[in-house]
Amino acid sequence: MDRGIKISLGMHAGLILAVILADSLTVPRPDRRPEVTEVALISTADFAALVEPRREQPAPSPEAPAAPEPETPPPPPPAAEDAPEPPPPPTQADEGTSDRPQAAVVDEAPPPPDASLRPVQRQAERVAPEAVPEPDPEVQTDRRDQAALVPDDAPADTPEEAAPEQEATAREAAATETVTEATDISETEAPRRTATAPEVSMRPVRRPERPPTPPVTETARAEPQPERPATQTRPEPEPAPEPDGPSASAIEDALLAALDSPDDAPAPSPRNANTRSGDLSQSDIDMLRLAVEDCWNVGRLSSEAMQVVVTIGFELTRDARPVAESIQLVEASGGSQPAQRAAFDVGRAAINECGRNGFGLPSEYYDQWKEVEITFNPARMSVR
Amino acid sequence: MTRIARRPFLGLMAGAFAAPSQLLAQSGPLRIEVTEGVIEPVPYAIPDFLAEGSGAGDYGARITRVIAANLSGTGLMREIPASAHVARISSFESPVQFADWRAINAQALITGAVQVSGQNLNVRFRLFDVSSGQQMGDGLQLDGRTDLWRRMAHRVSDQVYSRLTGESGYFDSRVVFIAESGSRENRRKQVAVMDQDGENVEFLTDGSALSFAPRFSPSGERVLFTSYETGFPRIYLMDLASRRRQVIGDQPGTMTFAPRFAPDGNSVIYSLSVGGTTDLYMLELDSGRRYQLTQTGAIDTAPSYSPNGNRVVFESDRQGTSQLYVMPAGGGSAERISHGQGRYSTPVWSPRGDLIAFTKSHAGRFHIGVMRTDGSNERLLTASFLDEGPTWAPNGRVIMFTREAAGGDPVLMSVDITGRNLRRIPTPGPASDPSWSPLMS
Repeated sequence: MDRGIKISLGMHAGLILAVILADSLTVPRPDRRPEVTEVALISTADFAALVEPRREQPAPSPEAPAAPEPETPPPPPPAAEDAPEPPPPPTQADEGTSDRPQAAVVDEAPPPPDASLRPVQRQAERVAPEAVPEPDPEVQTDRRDQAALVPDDAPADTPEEAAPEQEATAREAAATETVTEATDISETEAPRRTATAPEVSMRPVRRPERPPTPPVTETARAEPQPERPATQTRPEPEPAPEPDGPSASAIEDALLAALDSPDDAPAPSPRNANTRSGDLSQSDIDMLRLAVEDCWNVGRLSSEAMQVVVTIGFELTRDARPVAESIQLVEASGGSQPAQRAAFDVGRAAINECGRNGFGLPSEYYDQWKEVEITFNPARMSVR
Repeated sequence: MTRIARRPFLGLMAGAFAAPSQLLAQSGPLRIEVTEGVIEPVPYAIPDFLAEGSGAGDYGARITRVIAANLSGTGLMREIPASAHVARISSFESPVQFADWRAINAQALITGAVQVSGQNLNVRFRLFDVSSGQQMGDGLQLDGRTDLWRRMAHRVSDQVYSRLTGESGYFDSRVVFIAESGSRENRRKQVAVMDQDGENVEFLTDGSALSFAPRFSPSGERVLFTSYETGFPRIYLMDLASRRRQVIGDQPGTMTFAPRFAPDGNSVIYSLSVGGTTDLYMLELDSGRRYQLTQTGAIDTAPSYSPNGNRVVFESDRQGTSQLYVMPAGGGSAERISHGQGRYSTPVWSPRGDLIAFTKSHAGRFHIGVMRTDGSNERLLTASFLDEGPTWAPNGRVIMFTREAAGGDPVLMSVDITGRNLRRIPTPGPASDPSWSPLMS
């Protein structure tokens, strides 16, 4: 045996000996049995009783800085007599988060994506030019969306000034075309035909540059505006994010104009500001058309009646309500006589239904809209 | 184009004396065109028909419920429940307070009254357009036996439906179908007939032999069906009033099936299978003469006449897979009209003549669909594990068919030709193979 081998053997033996001695010298002699904690089975109700008081604890105040000195830990919740050791008090990092046991985390898991939000056309009882998502079931359906208005607690000066209470309403869910059972929704043009989901996620829009204030034209404000005490006394509002730039100021202007105008003098309508003086604006005409469209329900018509084009003439009162006795058939083409009669009935119902509260046309142009002829052409609806 | 009325000349005369500025401002009525609208059920109110006299009992309420079920069942109308009514109808003749009905957004109002004298029932009704406050059409009254009160309710429903939609109704009609019972291994299939709403079911065969494919005659008085009484399928013709039946078109050594009446009711078109091929034949019922219409060596079956009787649509596998073809009623060159993917079968010509309903199977799904008679504008209305055997309502607006879920029993369903209002037809048990009658006379 050469010398190298002897040295190697010696060093290996030394190493082994050192490991054995080190293990016996450094490790205390603990009880090698695994640590056992006694547990007790509790019912769901008991568990809820354990965690419920903690849920009701007020959330930590956001102003509270990081406590330099440890706060007194909250008293432990009442526990069953045979309950194991109470859980350790939450650490500072756990403040503000739920202290419920892990099992409760399941309840807090984010819900799966709502299938109703898939961007596809949905079956709906109503088909309308504009898709409308399913309204809140607790909100009354109506022909238009409107927020709930609750009168202020403060009594009004006069009973007449008290704003009537208004319930929130939402339009009935609608699709833009009939969706049958056989419609393969995977083949639909999802973004364009969305019925129940927004087309894109909402992003805060960049506030556009405020355009220079245009000079007030004669058309827009025919009379010099008097002093606006309300404007002077109104506190300067905090700059708030505006949804769409000019619209907010337009609304404000309209409100101010309405407030400043004397009761007996109708304020000039801003909608006519961009039209020739003395003409009914295109937006007013569109408003009338859209109002009638909203009530023109062709769902009951036969396929033959859906090929009938009828023109219906009628007169309007000064508050833009249709005179029922004046509604008459001016012209009808296509289909049999029963089909034409049904088509006329549907058109007449649309005029009456949506004109019941007036079409909101500007009374200063009454001469231009006191007589109306509407041609109802359902050709585009027959393919819905 | 019909010019019904024109603006009164008087307005022009008055305008001539108006100030020049006004003349410039007003150049006739404001004219707009509306091309977009909505499709939704029309809300209507139908208070219980008044029971006039002591003998009327609850006929008024029962008739009212049948009418409401019919109208609401179309999916085109929606009943406003009586609990929401503000006004009460105390007299059939008293004027209607339309404001009360507008307040609940009713667009149509149906009022009525019933009288009973012995076994005779008298029903009167009126239909109003609430928005205009006008009566729609003339009021009508019907007389009949008290045991026919449901039919009278259906006839009132047809009148209301027709006035509101501009097309004839389909409520006073019946459906012949196969009522199934027993286990799948020992299935019992009987020919049965019922009202279109599932009421008044009657069995036409005793179920001792399998029966299928019943078809109404154009008059609604007779029924064709196929039965395995002899072990081979044969076609039977039954008179509904007497329940007498006879075999037609039988030829020893052949199988005959898939019969359907010609629109005039004087002849029957059917399939005859012999030697592995199936061809179409036409049988004159009076003379018994038979004419072979196809001879291709393929399987030609499920024929259906166009309403005018000039053409026939049928299914054939002459080009490999089952497709739809149209040929002259007397036979001759057939034109393929189905060109989509999958297999097409059981075509039925619409009573209006404008559409053909069919069964389509594709990608493991069955569909009921419609297409124009030249095969264009194909639209699938349903989709399920198994949909088949469409039949048209007398007015061509609704289609009834058989639906079967995987491992389930067959049921009858109906759907509007727009694909809306898919609903199940109540039957006493499993049911299949419906055939709609014409409107009852």
